[in-house]
Amino acid sequence: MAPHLHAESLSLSFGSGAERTAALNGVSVSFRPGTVTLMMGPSGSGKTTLLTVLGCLQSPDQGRVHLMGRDASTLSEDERARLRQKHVGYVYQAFRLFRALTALENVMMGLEVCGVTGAAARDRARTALDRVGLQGKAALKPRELSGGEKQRVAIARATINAPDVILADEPTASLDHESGLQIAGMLRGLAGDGATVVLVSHDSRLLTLVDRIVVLQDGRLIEDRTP
Amino acid sequence: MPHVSIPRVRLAWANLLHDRARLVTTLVGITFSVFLMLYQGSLLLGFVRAASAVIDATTADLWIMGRDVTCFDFPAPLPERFGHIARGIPGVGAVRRTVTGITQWHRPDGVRQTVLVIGADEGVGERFPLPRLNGATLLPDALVVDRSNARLLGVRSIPTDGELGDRRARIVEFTEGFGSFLATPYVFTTHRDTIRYSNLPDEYTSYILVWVQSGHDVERVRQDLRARLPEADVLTGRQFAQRSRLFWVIGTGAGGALFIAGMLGFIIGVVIVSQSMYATTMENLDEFATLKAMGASRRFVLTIVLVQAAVLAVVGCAFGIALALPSVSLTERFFIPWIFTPPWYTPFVVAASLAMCALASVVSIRKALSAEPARVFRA
Repeated sequence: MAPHLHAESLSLSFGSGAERTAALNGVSVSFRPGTVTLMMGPSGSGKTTLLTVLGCLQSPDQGRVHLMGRDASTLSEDERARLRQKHVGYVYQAFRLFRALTALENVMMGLEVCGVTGAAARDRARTALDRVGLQGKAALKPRELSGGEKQRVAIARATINAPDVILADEPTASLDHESGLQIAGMLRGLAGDGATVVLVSHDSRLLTLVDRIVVLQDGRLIEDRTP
Repeated sequence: MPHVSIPRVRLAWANLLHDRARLVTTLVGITFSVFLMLYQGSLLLGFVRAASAVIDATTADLWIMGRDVTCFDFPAPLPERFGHIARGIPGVGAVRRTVTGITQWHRPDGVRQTVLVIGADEGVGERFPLPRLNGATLLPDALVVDRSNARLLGVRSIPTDGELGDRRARIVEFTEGFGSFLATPYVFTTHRDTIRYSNLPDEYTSYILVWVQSGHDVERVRQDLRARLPEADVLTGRQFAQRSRLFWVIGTGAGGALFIAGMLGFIIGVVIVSQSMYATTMENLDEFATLKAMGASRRFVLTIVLVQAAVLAVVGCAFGIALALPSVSLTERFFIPWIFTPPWYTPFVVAASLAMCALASVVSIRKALSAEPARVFRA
């Protein structure tokens, strides 16, 4: 099966003049559906930057990203937004839930940006929350949830549109041992449903759940192996 | 939290409610701003209306007056022959007179009050207050005063006897809509009695009013009168009303002061709302970035900010109007009789408030739309 996500010779620098640093330096990598890939590397190696470029959240200085067969560099900002809407789900270390909305409404927002509203959105959101084991917590706001519960709401929101690609940045970093294992298991399950899952993490608990490890250093891909 | 069907409205509303102290502060600011716009605007509009109230009460097509007369309250004497000349102009139908004079009213309690006596011939206009018996025959030695001046003139009931210019006079009727913004209240009577009470020469008048016969062009008749009366100004009723308003509003600076106060209300509202909305947007910048990462369109993000602005505008407006309208009524009743809120003005203020909040949200909109979706990956 063709890769959902493919990057060619990505380069991206920040800053200017003498302070200009290369966050990515000629990175090429592909990700196949149904797999979980763990990106590792020291702090500042470019892992998160690569994740944002793969997810079409920012454009590289050089190189291309192909997402679901479409070259993101040829798309306008609105077209990239629609591509993300349809094909990509994000899971963040800091959860990024809307603090003023309930768990149910947070998940519904994942549908509402796509134009699905009302009772249809509500029903689908409830099902998504049930799937992550939060059926009794729909009416609670983020401040009333534990770290693990917040991350499960975030995963429910990220997967509500059945995206083809899941990008997760340190999804278990803020969680205790048990919650972290649960989240890791959920992400593994998403790959089992055919999604392409790419994680950035230092969490060794994830090593047993991934299909592939890529290692970055100084913006370059230095290792690509199975665990 | 209210359940509303429009999704982004829910997030906008929820973000506003999240910091209730800021919400209350902002609403207080908008309420004050709306109050100021409505109240000052009512003062200005009432001032403008009062400046030409007497002119607007007549039905004359043309007014003949002394050269460069600035407003109704400050006429120059006109010789009676001007009226005779006017009658000889083709197209001139009726010719009538209006006169003003300053004198003193002796109140029943003995206090003297300077008044502007305004008199007119019968037929100048149904709305022109003239003292009549049973609404028909003109009454001699009789006066009509505006109800708002009753206390100033010592009038507790109708009729009230007193002296005007050391002659016996009787106030027989109240009128409304002729409250003067000068210190001298208006007193209405016939042309003949005004001459008597003000000790003016018999052949004196202030204005000659002309009605143009049907089938004749008003402007043509006006030009003909101007040619025959080079020592006078000849204006249509509308032109004279406009001249009077411009004199009081712009010539004296009073209207400008009221207008500036009203504009200050608008500016204060923009400043308060923009600060509050900017603070709210900055506080929620990560949320906007998250929405953009999720694929929300620019329009989606824009709508959230505009809905916040609209909610603030509507709620603040409601409070502001609820405070301002009763205040205007109280002011009219006890302090400033000529203050006036025309029916169109309140909707205008609502529209201005919406515009104010939309304008105030521009900086916030730019900030929200420029939120980098990539920032959501930074812890």
